[in-house]
Amino acid sequence: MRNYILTAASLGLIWLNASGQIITKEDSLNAGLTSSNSPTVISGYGEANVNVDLRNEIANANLTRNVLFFGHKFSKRIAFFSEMELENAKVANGNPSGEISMEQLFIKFGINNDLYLTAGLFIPRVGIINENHLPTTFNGNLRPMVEQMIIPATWREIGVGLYGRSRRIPGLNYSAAVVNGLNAANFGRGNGIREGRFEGSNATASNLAVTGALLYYYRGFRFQASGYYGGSVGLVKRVADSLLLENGAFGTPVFLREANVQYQSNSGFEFKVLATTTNIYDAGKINRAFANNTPEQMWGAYVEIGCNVLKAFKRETTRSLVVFSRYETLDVNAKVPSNGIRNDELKQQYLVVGITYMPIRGVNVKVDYVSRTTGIPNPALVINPYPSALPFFKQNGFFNIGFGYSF
Amino acid sequence: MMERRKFIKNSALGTCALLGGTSILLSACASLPLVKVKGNDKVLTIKASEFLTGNKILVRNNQLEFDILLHKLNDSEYRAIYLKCTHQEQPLTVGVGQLSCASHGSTFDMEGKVIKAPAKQDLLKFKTSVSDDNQIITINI
Repeated sequence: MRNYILTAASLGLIWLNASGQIITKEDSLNAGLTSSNSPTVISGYGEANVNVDLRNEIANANLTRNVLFFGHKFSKRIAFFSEMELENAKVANGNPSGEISMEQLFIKFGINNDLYLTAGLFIPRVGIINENHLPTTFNGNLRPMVEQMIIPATWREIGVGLYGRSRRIPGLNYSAAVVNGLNAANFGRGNGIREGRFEGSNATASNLAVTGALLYYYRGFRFQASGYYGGSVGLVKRVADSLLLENGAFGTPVFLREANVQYQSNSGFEFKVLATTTNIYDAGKINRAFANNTPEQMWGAYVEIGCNVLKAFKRETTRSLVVFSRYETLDVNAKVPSNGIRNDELKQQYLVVGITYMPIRGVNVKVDYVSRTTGIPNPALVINPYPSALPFFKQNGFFNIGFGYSF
Repeated sequence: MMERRKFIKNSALGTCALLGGTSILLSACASLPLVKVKGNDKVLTIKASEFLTGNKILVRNNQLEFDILLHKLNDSEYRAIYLKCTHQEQPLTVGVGQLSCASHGSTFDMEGKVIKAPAKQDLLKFKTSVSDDNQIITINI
């Protein structure tokens, strides 16, 4: 018994000691233990989910991600931001299950109060989820599929970005960036351009991309339009020529456009709508070089409505209970070159209904049901049928439950 | 070759739409006046006459990393909100009816209260006072 008491007391001391040493920005602000002007900030976010496949009667539990944020302010105008992400809880040697990656790492240079530059690995302003991917900011356990399969969020590359806001037009923001390009060799195979991202890891910088966005706030509305145009072949000219591909800064280009509108009323009603399309004009040449079934065009759109029912009863509350529904439609094979193979499985619709409960700002619990409808997989793409593969259902349902946090 | 033409055509159409939209915005919106207050005092002094066209002005001082939104509620009452997002210390955009962080999506009402995450804390407000004749406003930073 005495040993238990001693152990408990020791653990208590260790905990107190740890509390004293690791003080996050929010803790310090709340407790008043340190100055809120501390130049170094620790923060983070993450999520865990259980997904149940109702037709195949199997379930999966996963610590989807934990992200640690470190920031440091060198001066009033120069600051460092970084986010390190661990996906799927574990990175085992030789096991492809988990992933550790830098989600962002950049230096911000303030030019004046309306304008700043970022340099390093950063997330360009494309779509909604790309920049605003904290699990406490979107409904549903899974990020919208359109913003995974068409806009490959979280999409970060190395480059330089300029961000500003207009004083002449209150509510108007703009951004423009030059970043490294994509890798066409990894396109396709049902993933669009997703696997062609470098994400800051040994990117080819001989092919580049430009991206820009306009963002406008008006009352509860947020309007955004953005675009991305970049080369996808960063090979030496001799190699590119032998593959009959165009290299150079914008050779073998990818052109993505996107627009979205979000609205949130003071009474708790919210909606968002997004549409995007991507063209890979030389998809036929990419297929000829890499045989990866790159599509020539893909598109997607979704609309989501939600209502914070707690706000309807009590306006002054930090809690929220959002009931929402989202419909998504996308086609990764909207246009396939003559040397590509169409796969109707990549034409998909999702209907998501669920609730997001936030007991306190920074933590939420999510429950949702997803109905997925697709076309039939093209058997021509199955070269070696897996003997114990699960049967494919054009229509399937999924039940998801999980939590998210950010601090 | 056709694809390039298509791209140029799309880009031209997009640019025209963008320019058109920007022109409409330019003609529809009134700019927010900016008042630069020099000095390193902890008290910023602004003349009430700076409120020429509306009831909001931006106050900029070289000690501060971000601007202050000074909102005239009536002749003797003002609200000074520091335009620094409480989530990751990014600048806020003053829109019609709300303040927004373009970086991560937090939004606040015109009183500085959080409307939308990821921000959890309301915005910092500075104390204001007005001279007896309502001509001079002071902000304690």
